[in-house]
Amino acid sequence: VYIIFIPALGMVSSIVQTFSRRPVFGYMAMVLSLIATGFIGFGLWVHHMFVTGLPQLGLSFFTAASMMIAIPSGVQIFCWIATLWHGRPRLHTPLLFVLGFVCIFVLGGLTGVMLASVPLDMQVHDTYFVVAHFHYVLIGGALFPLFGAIYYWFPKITGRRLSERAGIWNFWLLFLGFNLTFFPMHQLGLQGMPRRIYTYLPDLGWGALNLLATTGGLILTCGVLVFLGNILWSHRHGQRAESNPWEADTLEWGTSSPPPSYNFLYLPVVQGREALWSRTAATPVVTGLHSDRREVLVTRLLDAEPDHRTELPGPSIWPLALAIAVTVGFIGAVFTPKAVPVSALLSFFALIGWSWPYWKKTEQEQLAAEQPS
Amino acid sequence: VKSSVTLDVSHLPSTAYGSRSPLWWGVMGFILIEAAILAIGLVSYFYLRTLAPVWPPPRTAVPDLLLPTVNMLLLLASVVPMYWVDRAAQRKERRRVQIGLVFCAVLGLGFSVLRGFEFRAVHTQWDSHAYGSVVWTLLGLHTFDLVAEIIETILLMVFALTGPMTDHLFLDISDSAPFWYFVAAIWVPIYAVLYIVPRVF
Repeated sequence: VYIIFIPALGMVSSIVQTFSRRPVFGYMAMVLSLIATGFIGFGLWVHHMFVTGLPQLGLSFFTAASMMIAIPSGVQIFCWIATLWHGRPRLHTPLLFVLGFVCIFVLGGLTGVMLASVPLDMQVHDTYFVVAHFHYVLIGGALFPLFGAIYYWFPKITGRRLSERAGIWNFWLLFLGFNLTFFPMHQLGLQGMPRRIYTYLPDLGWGALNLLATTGGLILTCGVLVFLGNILWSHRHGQRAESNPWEADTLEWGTSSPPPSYNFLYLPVVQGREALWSRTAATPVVTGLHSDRREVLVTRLLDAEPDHRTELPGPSIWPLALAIAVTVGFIGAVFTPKAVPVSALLSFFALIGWSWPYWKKTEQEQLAAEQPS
Repeated sequence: VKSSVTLDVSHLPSTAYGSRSPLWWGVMGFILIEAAILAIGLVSYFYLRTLAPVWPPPRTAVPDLLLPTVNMLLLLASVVPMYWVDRAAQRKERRRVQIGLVFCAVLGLGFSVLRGFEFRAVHTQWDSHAYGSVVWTLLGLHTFDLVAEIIETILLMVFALTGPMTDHLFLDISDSAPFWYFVAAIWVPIYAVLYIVPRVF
């Protein structure tokens, strides 16, 4: 489940850095936390099945892992807060969504630590408490950063900015609507309301809180509608965006908005982690690559110094032929085993066609053209 | 990005060998995938073995030893000419590369034929029982890698003999060598499991 957050974590780090106008605090700790999240994420999944009758050892292991994941998540949250604290934050819509993410995700994380312990999980298993928890984690952890990221990168993608005024409405409707919908569910779960039911008896006393949640749901919907309207309107009529409207540091902001198909006319040289902030008048651009063929620069792995130039292959029909050959094999094998050797033979010819050195001819011609002897 | 200062890269070479080449990393990724698949196959073998009361199952003869051992030694010995080809390709020595590739291709065809007989030497069929299935799976997966490597070598040999020797072809030849070493090296544990384990344990 934690894998869903990993793209969101990158989005949050980019947005926090840009809008606090300083490099992100504790870069190394952040990267290690990200790796730790991916690693510990492998040992969590049993916390979905604590009540299925597992051996004690298994329960303890997965409880420990489920609680441990709070450590790297906490490190990242504190690093973002420290970045904002030491920076000069500008409250544009993307940052607003990130702040909303921090609030909601921390609440979801708190109930996560509660649910990681088996005795509590057994009490509230299959109740609305779990529903509340995972919406706080998923909507807070993945959806809010995604909204922020769309506001952040929309100018780069389309060349027009999304409306800030609508963005602020969008945020507050989503934030309030979300909390109104899902916060009461914690209480409903503790009162014993089970998940996956569509009705209940009136004298159970869940009515008022459910009405509140439904109201929240309507507000949430309004927020999403404002968002869709903002996208549609701004795509046509939004304010034109220059190449770097947020004064961000990463390389995509170094080219025009929207970027041309070749991204950069001359390959920029990057001299630090903050590519654009560390750029000076003396920062060179790369020249000397052939533009009449698909030549790219290969750098050394660790220090990224230019190492050699390599030519990428041009358009070719053979990868498609190979894909068709493999498809014939997999679909045909459902009906007859003979499809496997047939597909292998077809793939064989497709692979030979693909690796046939057509480039030899062009390279020879180039050699002949460069050295007329 | 507007800048008057330029970093001219036109003097850089158009090919580089080993870990400097993106192709080499592709080969490493492929080796990683194949190694993982074969490792899963080996784990499956031992998993099935722990469940079976007798291994190999009753009325199943243990595999032959002579032919597979000879073939393994041949496969391991083939690393030497391949290494020779790899070095010659990095030094762009056309003649040596051509001779070496022909030699490797002939060797490869040789142990492919012997490998065909190994499917008889295991004395079991793929559909007889779990033992037969897992033995054929391991043997088949490795044979698949082997055949792929030999086809690649034959193709490179054809290119090297017929076309002009470009820098890219030298690079392709050099980058195909690690996969050959891998196919030879990974066979040692699989050989041990297929042919020694049923005899000894």
